[in-house]
Amino acid sequence: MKYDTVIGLEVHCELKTQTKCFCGCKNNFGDQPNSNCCPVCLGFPGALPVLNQKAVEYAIMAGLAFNCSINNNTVFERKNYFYPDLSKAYQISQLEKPLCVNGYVEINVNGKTKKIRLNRIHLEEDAGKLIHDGIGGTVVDYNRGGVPLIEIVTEPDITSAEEAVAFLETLKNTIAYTGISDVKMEEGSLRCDVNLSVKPAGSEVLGTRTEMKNLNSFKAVYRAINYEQKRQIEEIEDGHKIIQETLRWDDSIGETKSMRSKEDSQDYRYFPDPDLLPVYISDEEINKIKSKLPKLPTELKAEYVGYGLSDYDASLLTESKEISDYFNEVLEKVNQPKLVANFIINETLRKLKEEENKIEANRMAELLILINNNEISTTAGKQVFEEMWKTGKDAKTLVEELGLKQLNNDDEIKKLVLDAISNFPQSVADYKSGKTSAIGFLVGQVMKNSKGKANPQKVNEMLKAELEK
Amino acid sequence: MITEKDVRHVAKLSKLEFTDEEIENFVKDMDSIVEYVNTLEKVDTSNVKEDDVKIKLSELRKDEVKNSLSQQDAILNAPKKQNGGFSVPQVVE
Amino acid sequence: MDYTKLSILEVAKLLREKKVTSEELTKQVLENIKQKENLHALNFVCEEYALNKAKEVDKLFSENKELPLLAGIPITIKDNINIKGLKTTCSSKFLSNFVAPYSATIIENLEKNYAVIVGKNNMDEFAMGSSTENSAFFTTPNPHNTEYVSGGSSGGSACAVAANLGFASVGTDTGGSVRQPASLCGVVGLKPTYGLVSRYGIVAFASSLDQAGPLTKTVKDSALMLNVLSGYDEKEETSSKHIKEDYMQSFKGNVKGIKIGIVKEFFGEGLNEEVKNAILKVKDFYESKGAEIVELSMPFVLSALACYYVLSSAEAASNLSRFDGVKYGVSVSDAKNINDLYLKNRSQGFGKEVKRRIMLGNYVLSSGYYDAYYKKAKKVQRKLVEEFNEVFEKCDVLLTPTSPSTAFKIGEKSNNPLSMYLSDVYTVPVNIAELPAISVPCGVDSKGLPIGMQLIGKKFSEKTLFNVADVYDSSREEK
Repeated sequence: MKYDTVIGLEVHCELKTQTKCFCGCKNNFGDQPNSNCCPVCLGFPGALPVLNQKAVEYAIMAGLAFNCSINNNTVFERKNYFYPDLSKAYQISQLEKPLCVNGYVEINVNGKTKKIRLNRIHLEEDAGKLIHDGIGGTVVDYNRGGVPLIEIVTEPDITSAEEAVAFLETLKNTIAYTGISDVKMEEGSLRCDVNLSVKPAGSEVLGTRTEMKNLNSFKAVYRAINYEQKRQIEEIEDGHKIIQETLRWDDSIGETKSMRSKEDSQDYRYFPDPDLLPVYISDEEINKIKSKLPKLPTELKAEYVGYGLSDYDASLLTESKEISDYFNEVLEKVNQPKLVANFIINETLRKLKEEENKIEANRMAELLILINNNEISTTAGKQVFEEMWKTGKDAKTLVEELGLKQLNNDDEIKKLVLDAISNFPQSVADYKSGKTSAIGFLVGQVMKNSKGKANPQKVNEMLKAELEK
Repeated sequence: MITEKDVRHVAKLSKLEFTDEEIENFVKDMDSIVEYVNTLEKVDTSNVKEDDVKIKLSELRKDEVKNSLSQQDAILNAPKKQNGGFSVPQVVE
Repeated sequence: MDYTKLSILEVAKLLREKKVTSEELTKQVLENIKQKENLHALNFVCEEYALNKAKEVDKLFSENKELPLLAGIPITIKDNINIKGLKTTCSSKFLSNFVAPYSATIIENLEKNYAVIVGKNNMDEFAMGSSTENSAFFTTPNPHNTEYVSGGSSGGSACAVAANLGFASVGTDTGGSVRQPASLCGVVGLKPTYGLVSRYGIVAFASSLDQAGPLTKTVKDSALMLNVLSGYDEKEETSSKHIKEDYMQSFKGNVKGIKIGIVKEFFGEGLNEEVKNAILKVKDFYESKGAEIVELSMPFVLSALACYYVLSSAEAASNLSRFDGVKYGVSVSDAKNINDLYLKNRSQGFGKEVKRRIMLGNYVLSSGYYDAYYKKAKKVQRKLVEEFNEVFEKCDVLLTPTSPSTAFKIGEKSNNPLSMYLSDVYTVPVNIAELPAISVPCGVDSKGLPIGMQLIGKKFSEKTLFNVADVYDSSREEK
């Protein structure tokens, strides 16, 4: 029997504000335990939350980036449950009137585009961190407690691990472009829970779903989905029922383990936080935020295609904000989109797989200007690039040192052309008899004898002129 | 009618434990209170307007860092502390 | 001479005339506290803190510095308001050793005005109760007859002011917790408009209803205290941006042209005859002074009590969840696991009434009941606001009893929560509608126990309330 997999994701993303969501404590990763805390985020008696404007703006930016409608009136609610990482025993979150609703993310899997609908994006506060001391105790650090977080909830539109990862990559990339979050999975600023169920292929009725937590990398998401869909199918084939439960993914052994079942699932007793007022956001304010939104990958890609780049190249250049920013910066100085794109895609991106970018945009531009002005050949340019990367020297110095300056002197080129013609009469004869492709061989010989320095365009022109005399 | 089951469920949510006798008393107490509270049903609220108190986005707190407590003050009242943190029995995830 | 019986305004004058020093006042108050220890009006006294402050103020007076009216005046503070470095117990076993690491905004305001804080008042645990019998430490009896309750939850505050253990106190009022004990102890108690006085640093009971207010000997002192306590606080989102007013400018000395509403529902079943007659006498007084009396009806106003028990308990259940014994508070050492730690700490730390409210609150919020109780109560609240808006189109203030009866005997209602709750039936509508109200003494019953009248105003009409209340209060002083 064939099965369909139905997946919905809940993605949590920490916002990069200066201060926490409901107090003025620093929002910073990696400080001493409980050193970025105050009565509010420690849940001390009498302390009161005050909402951070920037956090709301950032959440709206996320909503706009993912095509959501922004609610003009939004309400913060308390989600009540006891857990030691939650200082007040409630999390300030949103249920009935979240900031953003009904968006979508367009993903690309195997050359096909697909829309994954978003149910909502809401703003909430993060919990603190539990540190296990290894000797039977747990220590709580509330530095992260109260850090603003957006929760992005998809509709169950995802059908495979590939789609889930493509979704997350697109999501992560787009958020990085907005600048509202570091989106670092390893630091926990991006986290993902997976809701998954299986059903007989084509069936309208959804199966019982499980929720998987503790997915700390895209790879873990990929593996966990494949594991869980297989497990559920096997359970069903064996005649068992799927239990609605929360599972914890153990990446080291590649399995899920039950955390809690639905029977002891929580009753969160949401109700509007009486310490906070409903927030009103005018259309004017929404438009203002929209106008401040940086260009997103989809927009940039269209722009690049407009410059004459291929769809594929434009995709490569918008795979990260770092790359497109770099491309834009170089392009500003060398207005040759194809030249810049080719060089960055073929050279820089290849290098970036191994290490950090070692050539700043302005130095890269200097190199490409030399190529564009025919001062060095493209081949020589690649050699210079390698040396720049290795030595940190600038392009002009290296061209001198390596003697790679392009040969543009007509007399010298002519001499090399005439040599070639006299040395290879057969090729000349071929050309004259109509096999025009024979010129390629002769160009190659001239280039070889000039040690690659001769301006290939000139060589070509002169050869043609001589041969047709 | 409040039942014993209701009271036990709510006790669990409240993180409170009671003796059987206390549970029995709670059933009675809460039943009489809830019966009183049920009089709210008689109030016709079909035409009430929604509350219009709101805060504008522009009036919200600016994202400027304020002083935090020192780590020492943060954990000053902690019944059990360790390495600058609050100690709790091991939490199994 | 015993200065402690005087009002703040009276001793403020003497301080400026250098007829008395703040240190002398403070010492007399501290002596009174020792003499009347049996009243248990205070959870603890901060003698050194107070005397140092008094000496500091005396020094400023001796340098002829111009100081605020409250400078050098010994006062007490309800023990649910944080003062940095001092304990905040909320009269709960759970917080019996909690030292506040920060001060409430209103404490900062009082300190800027050089008030001398001498101690923290006993109260019903976490401000839940109407008799101070729910304190985990001791019951504060009525200073007029110690077999009777002082009211609650700010019973320690009311008792302290009535027994001259400080010239004023700051209490908190969620459903009548300033006004009812003020009424039962024969002092003036004010519940300001919601949002007028900062809640930051006051241990929350029900966030949408809580409001701190002064307990004083006179209405003028109440206005003086509100000048110090009120004002916008950026640390509280629900704090009102209402323009800062000078409440000492409230007093016109007459009520000519003022329309006083008498709402019949406040005089119905359950109201003690003696109390009723006392209030009607006040009505006659105002009429004789040129006020216009308007007879009104508010059919749903008493539903406020049911509404209150839903909303306040729901908020309290959530507000009190933070008391788990991890960050502060009393904690057991033998917990088997985290859940066991929560269960033990909370079950051992909280008293019966607090548990009852938490249980009720979590019941009305729990899945399946939320709409029927919480959402319905929110709608009833709107209905009541509309009812108040309607009557305030016809009058300026409402005159009602503060409490349906005078002080009841200690133990009389402790086994019947509902009958205890009913003693708040006239005060609760004010919190539900976020209005200001003041309770002013208006005589005693046949047992010699004080009776209080309540004046309710529109939002931010404290000046009108003070004026109307003062016209009666001043005439009473003259008597």
